[in-house]
Amino acid sequence: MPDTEHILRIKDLRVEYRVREGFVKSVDDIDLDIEKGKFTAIIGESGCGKSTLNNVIMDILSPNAVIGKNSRVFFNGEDLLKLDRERLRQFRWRKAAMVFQAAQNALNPLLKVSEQFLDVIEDHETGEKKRESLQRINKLLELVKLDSRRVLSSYPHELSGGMRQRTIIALALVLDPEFLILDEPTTALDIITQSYIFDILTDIHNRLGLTMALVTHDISAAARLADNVVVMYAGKIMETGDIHSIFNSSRHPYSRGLLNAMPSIEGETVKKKPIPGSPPDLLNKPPGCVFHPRCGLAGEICAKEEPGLEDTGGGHKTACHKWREALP
Amino acid sequence: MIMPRNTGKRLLESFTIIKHNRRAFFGLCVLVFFILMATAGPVVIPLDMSQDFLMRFQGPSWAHILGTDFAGRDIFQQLVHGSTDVLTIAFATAFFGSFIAVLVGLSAGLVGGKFDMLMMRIIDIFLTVPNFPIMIIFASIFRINDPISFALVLAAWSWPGLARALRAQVLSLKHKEFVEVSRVMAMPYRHIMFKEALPGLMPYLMINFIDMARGAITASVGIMLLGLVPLSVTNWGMMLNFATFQTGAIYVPSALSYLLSPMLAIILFQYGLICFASGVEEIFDPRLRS
Amino acid sequence: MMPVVELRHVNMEFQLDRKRRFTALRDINLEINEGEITAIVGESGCGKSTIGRICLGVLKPTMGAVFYNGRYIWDSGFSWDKPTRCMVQVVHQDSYASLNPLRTIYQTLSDILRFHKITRGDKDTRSKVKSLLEVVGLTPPEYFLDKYPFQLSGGQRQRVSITRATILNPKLIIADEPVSAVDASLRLSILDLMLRLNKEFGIAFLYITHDLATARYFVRDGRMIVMYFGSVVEEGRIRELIDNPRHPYLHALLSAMSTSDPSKAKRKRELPLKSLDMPTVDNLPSGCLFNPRCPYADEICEKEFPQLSTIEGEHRISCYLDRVPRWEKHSRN
Repeated sequence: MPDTEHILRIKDLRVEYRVREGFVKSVDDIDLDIEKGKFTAIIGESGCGKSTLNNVIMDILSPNAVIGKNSRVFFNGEDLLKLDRERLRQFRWRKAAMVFQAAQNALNPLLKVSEQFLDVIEDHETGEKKRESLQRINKLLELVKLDSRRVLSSYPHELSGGMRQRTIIALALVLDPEFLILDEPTTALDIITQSYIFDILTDIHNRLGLTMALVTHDISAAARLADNVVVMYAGKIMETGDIHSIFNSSRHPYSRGLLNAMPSIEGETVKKKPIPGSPPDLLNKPPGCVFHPRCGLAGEICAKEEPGLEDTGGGHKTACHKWREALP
Repeated sequence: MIMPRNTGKRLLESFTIIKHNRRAFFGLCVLVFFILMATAGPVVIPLDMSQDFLMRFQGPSWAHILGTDFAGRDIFQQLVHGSTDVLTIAFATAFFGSFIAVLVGLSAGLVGGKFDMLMMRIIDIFLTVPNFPIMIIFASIFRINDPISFALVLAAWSWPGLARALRAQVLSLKHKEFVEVSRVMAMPYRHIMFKEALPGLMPYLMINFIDMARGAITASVGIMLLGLVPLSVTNWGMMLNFATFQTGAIYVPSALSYLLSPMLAIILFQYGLICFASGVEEIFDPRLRS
Repeated sequence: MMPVVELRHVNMEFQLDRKRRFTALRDINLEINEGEITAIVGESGCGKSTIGRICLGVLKPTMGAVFYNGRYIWDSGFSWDKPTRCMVQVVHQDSYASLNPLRTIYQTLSDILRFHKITRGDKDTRSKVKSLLEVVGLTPPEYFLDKYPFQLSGGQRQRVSITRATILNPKLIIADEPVSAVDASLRLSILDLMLRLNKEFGIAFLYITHDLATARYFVRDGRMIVMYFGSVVEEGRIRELIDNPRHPYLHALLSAMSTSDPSKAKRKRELPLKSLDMPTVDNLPSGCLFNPRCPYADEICEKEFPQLSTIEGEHRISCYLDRVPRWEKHSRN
């Protein structure tokens, strides 16, 4: 039964990668809900599992990945993990689309941009006439502030990096999906272009009411774009909530540490501090709370028992035994 | 523990890597088999080249494991005795060829400038002048009696292509950051060449090594047929040539093993080399170890 | 005191093909003194990495002079002696490419120690390598000795690059985007490490980046040079530049940077720019290269390239206009 509030409900998701030394638990039994119509940012360092999470949803995991038997990924009530290939194909791009990391090279260099758009439409058998398609494509390009006359007749290499990225975003929207995931969409782009693309993404979100998710390690991108935030670390969810709760009154030492470790162009530089230690070896995760070796608040219980996600009020959930102690 | 000068431990570690890689281990076994054949074989197994035409084109039997050839002689014995020359020529050619190619290609790429231009011209000359006529001239001037000098001549014509490819690889490596850092740290060219550049080129070298070995076997047949080098009947390539073209074995059903034996020997030898090479790649590039 | 490295009227042109020449750098004058930390900031293509390579002595400028401790290094009579050659070292952005992927950490570091005869014998070398790893926080050092670069994380590899750069006691380290490829949360620890090296050993740094935030954190009281398409558009003490930016391009850069405060970050902003397109080699604007994008551009901006002129003290900009308004930090439109 489709949920009217959440577009994506993930339960007990576990994804392990088989490597020579054993199994790497990249996503470690997590539960996650993504609200419809909102912009959710999934933030974490590299290795935290956010990209794997992304790949599970779009079914593009690498061959040595093993999904746990109890894992469920409900999209509008339907378990994606149980879909057969044909249904998955229909799901991908029509219901949910993705903008990849370093996507600027995802365009086929041998085809004109217009052909790539038309190809995608044709492949998904919408039955639409070419003229209608082109009209729609024009509207989309307008949405991403591209001049369709110039862009459609060009080859990818004739466009700048920023223009290619905007083209990719338009391409992701071409089948009018309900859900758009962006995986580090602005790596390798200049600051000014980045800022411009962020503006476009906010515009798309507001105008189309589209449910969007951003997977990133860039806190400031999340600050700018997101309504809700999910903080991940070493395959586990540390904290979730709306953006103001998380950024202004975080209830998890890791999130706080992360926010404090980002230099910015204003504020006291002296107050910034890196998180001590380094991320754990995913083959040998620490017992109990996976963050405890680096945590200033860690107590005995933290080394023994894994904290579950606890609701601290107003949908703000945290996975920390000591969250009460850290309140300002 | 890897200490650059501690060869014993490095060999042991290399062996472990090969052991874990099934293909490479198979390749190693095949190579060991052939090397034993080439070294101990002729001692253990006598060669009886007496002709007995009544026994010609016999299939495999207890008396003759691989059957007999057009003159009734045991094929297996011939293979064993031929293996010495074949392996020597193949390995020696590949070794000499690679060695020269590495020296020329790497130094040309690294040093650059006029030296590079000079080397490139030399390579070009070697590449454009046709091999065979020169080899004929060589053969008439220098007596080629033993496999080693034969290998030298063959190597002289196989190194240029590889040298050029290596030079291209070095040129691209040169601008890689880690080479730039070595330059900035005033490390000598010799270090950059052998410790920084060469290990990355090993996989490429391996493939070419095998190619050269293979090419040497084929080339040796051609040269022998031209009468430039004393004919060695037990050379596998020669045997294959006889079987296919000279003695009509392809028309005789029972001579199937005469036809297949040298062919399979060559194929198996090469396949062993290829399989082994995949393990060697792993030794040199730790990223490939699964 | 002679500056460690000095660039005078340096121009760099690259021949793209038979017809076109690309000017990567235009009249660069730069002085790096002992113990100083200087940032070169700009977007990709502005020439900042090229300056780095020229300072490193591996790229010869088409015009202009490069001095190491007062010695002109591209002079016909000049030859590199070891101490001079090792005076300037580098830390690259891509730690994966700057470490030989086929050599272990121990091998990479010991090669240098042995060749330069800093240590003798295996025991001596091992203990020196271990202490080098400890200095950069790679503990326990034994764990890292036999690892290959691909077995280390980006941050760890970068630390190895940094410690390698210190081996020959350089006076200056060129850090070309050293933390851009490192996870955002780990960047500070790497920058802290470099700050420590600067304080303890007096090593000067040339920090090349596109990220103003890390530049601000790292450079502290030092200077910043803002580049646009091969020219310096603004330079001076970094604090002064960020508090009181005068060139419209710097205004645009500062506006484009996000903060970590959601309420501020979400405020709608208009970048003070007329167009998004960077100039390309084939259609370089005349006069000031920034004028097609500059919202305050005037006729004079298209005529001639503005020279660097002093506003106050060390703060210089290359712009004609006095009427560029002051940049308000919190009112982004």
